[in-house]
Amino acid sequence: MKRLGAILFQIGAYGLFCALVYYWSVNPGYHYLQPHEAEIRVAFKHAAQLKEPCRQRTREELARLPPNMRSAKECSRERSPVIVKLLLDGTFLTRKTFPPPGLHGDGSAFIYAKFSVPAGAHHLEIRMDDSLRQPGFEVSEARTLTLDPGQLLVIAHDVERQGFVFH
Amino acid sequence: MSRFHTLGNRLFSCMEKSFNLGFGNRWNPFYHLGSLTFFFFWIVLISGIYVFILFETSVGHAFQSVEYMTHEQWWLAGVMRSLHRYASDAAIISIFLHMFREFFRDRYRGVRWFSWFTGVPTLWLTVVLGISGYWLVWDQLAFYVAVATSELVDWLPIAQGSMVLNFIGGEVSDRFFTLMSFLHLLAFPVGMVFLLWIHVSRISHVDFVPPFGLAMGTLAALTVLSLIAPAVSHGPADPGLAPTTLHLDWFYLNIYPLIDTLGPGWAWGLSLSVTALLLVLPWLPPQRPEPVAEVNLEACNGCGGCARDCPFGAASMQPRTDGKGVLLQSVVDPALCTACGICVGACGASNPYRQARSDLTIGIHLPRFTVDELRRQTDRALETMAGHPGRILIYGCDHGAGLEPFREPGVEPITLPCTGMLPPSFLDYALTQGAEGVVVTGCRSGDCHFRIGNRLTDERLAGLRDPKLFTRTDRSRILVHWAGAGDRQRLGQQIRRFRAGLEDPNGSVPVPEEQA
Ligand code: HEM
Repeated sequence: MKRLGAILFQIGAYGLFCALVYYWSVNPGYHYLQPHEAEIRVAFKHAAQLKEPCRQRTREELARLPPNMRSAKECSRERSPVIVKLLLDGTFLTRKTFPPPGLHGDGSAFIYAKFSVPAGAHHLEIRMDDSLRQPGFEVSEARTLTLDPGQLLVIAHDVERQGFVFH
Repeated sequence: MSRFHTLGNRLFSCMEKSFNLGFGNRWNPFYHLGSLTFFFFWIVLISGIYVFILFETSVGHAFQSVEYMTHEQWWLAGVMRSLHRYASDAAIISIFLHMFREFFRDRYRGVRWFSWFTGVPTLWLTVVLGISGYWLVWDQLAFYVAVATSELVDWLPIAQGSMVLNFIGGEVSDRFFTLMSFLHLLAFPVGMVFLLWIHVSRISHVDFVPPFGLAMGTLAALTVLSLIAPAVSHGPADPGLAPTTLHLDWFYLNIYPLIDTLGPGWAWGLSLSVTALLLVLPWLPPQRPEPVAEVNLEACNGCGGCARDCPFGAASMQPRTDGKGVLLQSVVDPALCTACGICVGACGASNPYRQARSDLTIGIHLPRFTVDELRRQTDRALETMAGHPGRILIYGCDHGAGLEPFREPGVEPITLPCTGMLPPSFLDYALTQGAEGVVVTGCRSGDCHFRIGNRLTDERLAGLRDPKLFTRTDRSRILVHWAGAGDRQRLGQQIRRFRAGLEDPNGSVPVPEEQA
C-alpha cells in the first residue's frame, strides 16, 4: 500500500513538473499586437549635415600649414541632430530628435521608432530635418496606403533618391 | 532577512519531507537539483546533436528543416526537438529551485560564496543559450526575438548600433544566421562547460550524476510530454509581418514583453540590477566567520583522511615541513574551510581511547569544538546517565532536529557542528564506558548542511570508509536515524522504540523504519 502510494506520488510529481514545463513553454499567449492592428517602424541610419558651415582658409593660414594639409576649407566634424516627425492622418505619431553618435558627434544617427496603429487606410507623412543651418524639414514624403492587420510597414530614408521608402 | 530565510527554509523542508515519502531520500529531486540540471543539459546536448544533423543553417531553409523534423519525422526528430526544448525549460526550473534552495538553506555565504557567485553568470549564459536557440527556428517567434534582441543591443552606447537594420526593411543575411548558429551550437555550450567547471571547482565529492531512478523517471516524463505535446513552430519568419499573438517560452523569453512595454533601457536596468543583487547577496549581511580547522603537525601522521573527506577541498596533503619520517602533512586553506569538522571525524588519530590521562590531541582539530571537548562531553554524559535504565547517548548536529528536548534521565544528547565530525570509535567508546545504546542523527539522509557529512558517517559505520567502526562494536546497540529540523517527533518515536528494545533484554532491538 505504501509502495503504491509512493508510485502514485511520483507519477503525480512528474506529471505536475511536466505540466509546468509545458504550460510556461507556450502560455500564456503574448499579444504583441491586437488582431486589428498593424505596425509602423521607422528605421534607418543617416549622416546629417555638418553643424557648422565650412570656412575658407586665408592665404596666411594655408601658408602656416604643412604642405600636405593645405586644404582650402576648414570644416568642424560635428553633425546636426536628425529630427523626425511622423504624422498619421494629420496627427503626430512622434517628433523625435536623434543626436549624432561618436566622441566628436560626427557619426551617422540611428533613427528608430515603432508604433502600433489600427489597420486600414491611412494618410502617412514623414518629415526629416537634418541640418541646423537650414530652417524647416528638408526631406518629406506623404503616402496614402492601406495597412492590413498584422502588417509591418518599415519606413527608411533613401540617400540616393533623397526621399523615403516604404517597405 | 533571517525571517525570510526561516520561512523559505521551512517551505523547502516541508516539500522535501513529502518528497522523501514519495521518492525516498535517495531519489528526492530536491537533494539533486544541481546534478539534475547537469542531466537536463545532457538531454539537451544529445537531442541537440540529433536535431543538428537534420537542421539547415541558412535563412532560406532553416524553417523548412525544422518543419520536416516536427511533422515528417515526428517519431524521432520531432521527439528529439521536443526533448531539446522541454529539457531546456526543465533546466530553468531546476536551476531556480537549486538557487533558492541554496539561499534558504544558507549555503551560499562565508567561504561558500564562490559557488553562488559563479552560479550567477551561468544563469545568464543559460538564458542566452536558450534565446539563441529560439532564433534558429526562423519562424515568426524567431523573427520577433531577433528584432527585439537587436533593439536591446542597439540601445547600448558601446554598440552605437543599428543591428535591427539587419532584420527589418531588407533581406536578412545568411551571415548573421551563421553567426547565431555558431554561438548556439559551439560558443555558448563551450562557455557553459567552462563556467560550470568553475562553479563546482571549489568543492569536492561533487554530485554530477543524479541517481539512476530519478534520471530515468525524469527522462521518461519528458519523453511522454514530447509525445503528447510536441514542440511546434510559429509560421515562417516574414519581414513584412508583425506578430499578433506569440506563444512565448516564458522560461527564456520573459524579458521581451518588458522590452516592448518599458523599453530596452529598463530591460537592461532591471536585469543588471537583479544580477548585481544576486552577486552581492553572499555579503548581505556577511557571515560571521567561524574559526577554521587547524592542523596539529605533531599529531598528524599524514594519513590523508582529512583531505579525502573534506567536502570543500579545504584540506590537502602537502610535503612535510617538520622533517618527520612521513612524506606528507595536512594543510588547511582557511579561505575554503567551513569549520564543519568532517576532517576531525576522518582523522586516523581521532580515537577516544588514546591519551586517556591527558588532553586528546589529533592531527587536525576544530578550535570551536575540539575532539578533546567531544570526549569530555561524552564522559560527562556517561557519568550523568550512570545508574539509569536504558542509558542512551545521542550524537547529533547543529542543523538536524534539535536534541535538547530528548534530554531526560538516562538520555543525554551531544550536538556537534556536523555529525560527519564524529569518529566512529566514539560509538564503541560510549558503549564500553556505560551507555546501553547510541543514537546517531543529523540532517536528513541525502541532505547535509555541509553536503556529505551524513553520507560519510553512514559509510564509516558500514565499514566502507576509513575510519571504520570497529568490528567488535555491537551494531544492534546503535541506531542511526537521520532527522531534519521538522522531524523531531519521528526521531522521538524512533528513540523511544530503540530504548524500549534495549530495556527488554528478551525482545529484539527494532530496526528503524524507513528514514524521513
Ligand atoms: C547552470 C546551472 C547550474 C548547475 C548545473 C549547477 C550545479 C551545481 C552542482 C552540481 C553543485 C554541487 C552540488 C553538490 O554536490 O553538493 C552546485 C552547488 C552550488 N550551486 Fe550550483 N549549479 C547551477 C547554477 C547555480 C546558480 C544559478 C546558483 C546561484 C546563483 C548556484 C549556486 C550554488 C551553490 C551556492 C552551491 C553550493 C556550494 C556549497 O555547498 O558550498 N548554482 N551547483
